[in-house]
Amino acid sequence: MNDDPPRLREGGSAFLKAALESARREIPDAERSAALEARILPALLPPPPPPPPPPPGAELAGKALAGTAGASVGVGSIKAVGVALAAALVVAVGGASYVVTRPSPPATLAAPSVSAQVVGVVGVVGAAEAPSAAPTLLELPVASSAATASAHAHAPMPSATPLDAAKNEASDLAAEVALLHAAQDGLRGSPAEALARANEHARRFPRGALGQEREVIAVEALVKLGRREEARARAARFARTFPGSTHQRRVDALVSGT
Amino acid sequence: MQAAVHQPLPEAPRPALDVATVFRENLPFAFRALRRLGVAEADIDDVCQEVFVVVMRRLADFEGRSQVRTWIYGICARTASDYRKRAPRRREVLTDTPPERVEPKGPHEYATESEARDLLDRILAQLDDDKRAVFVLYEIEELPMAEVAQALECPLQTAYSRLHAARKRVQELAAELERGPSASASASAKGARA
Repeated sequence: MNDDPPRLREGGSAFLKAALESARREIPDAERSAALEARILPALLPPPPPPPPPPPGAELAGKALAGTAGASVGVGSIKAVGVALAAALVVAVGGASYVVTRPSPPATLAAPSVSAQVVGVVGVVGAAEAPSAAPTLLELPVASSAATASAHAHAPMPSATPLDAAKNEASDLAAEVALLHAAQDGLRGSPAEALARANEHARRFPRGALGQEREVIAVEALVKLGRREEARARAARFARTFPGSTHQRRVDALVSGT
Repeated sequence: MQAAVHQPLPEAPRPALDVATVFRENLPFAFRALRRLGVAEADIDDVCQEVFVVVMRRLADFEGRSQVRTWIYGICARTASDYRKRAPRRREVLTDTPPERVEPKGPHEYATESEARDLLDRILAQLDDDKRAVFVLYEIEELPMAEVAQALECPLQTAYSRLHAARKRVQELAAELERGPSASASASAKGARA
């Protein structure tokens, strides 16, 4: 038996009816829900698995970064260079640049000019973004045809064709860079937007190549939003997920406020 | 074979709850309840996050004795109560100029939905936490009283008693406001929570 009395919305005064009905309608709209989800959901989910080992080019670039990023004071900028058959990213972190190369498909083996083009573009971007790091960039082995052939020997592509797979991979990488570029732009004027973009990256690319860079941006955004507890928690997760990262010093500086 | 037919079937295992699904399905209700439970617009994102962090931590232990939503409403009520205890300290903002005095208005003058809600919030703010939670869950979230009592972890009769007192006070305050600004000012001046 239900002894519940009639609700005021049905039997109260005109004002109470209107106010209670209005209160029932106050739920977040789609845009607000999306913003709340982008902010809250990543904090509820388990940390992303550690990213796969970087390709040989990235490893070399990471070593180069470790040697030049000691005095870094801020996440600099992220630039994507899309080339039809080979992808190269330049991620400038605190004045030093980080180059990620993806192997070109066999079709490029007969086109060494593509590699030359990538090196040229990387050199230009590196010089513009971080003059002190430019020599390091130019020393990096960027997608040479020999390295490409070697990489493919170790990583056969099971999908439709190697060319398709390479295109998809380059496309994902370009999408990652575009998203983090937007996140980084947000750091200058809208840290909430930066955080939303970083969290979107975490959802879309849980095993992405730029997970570390994303986390640096997210920590900086949280600090700028005054959410220091969350920044510290995220920094601690960064240290656990990416032990020995070259970005650790930057993350530590952000949360310590130096 | 026959014996097997008469054996009671083992209880089907409860499907595991996925935190992302629980979050998406319940965010709008938690958001709405928290607003009426006194969480300011400026703080609603933070408090929503607090609620769902608690949900995430306790989800594995959720025994299914109530609906998931009822359980989350209970977490909302407790989180909002904690928030209201600490909110006055958090909201202190130093300023050189005092705020302008706003003349109180009667309900008939509140043309927009948001104004009507603001007035309702002013009325709800006069209730203590226990009565406010019962009123919000029953009158706005429209839970059956049995679920209200479950969410707030109190006996059903206690929930009824709180609802009765809350409705009486809300109707008195609304009537005073409807009689006009002077009555409203007098109601505010009383200041005592129900």
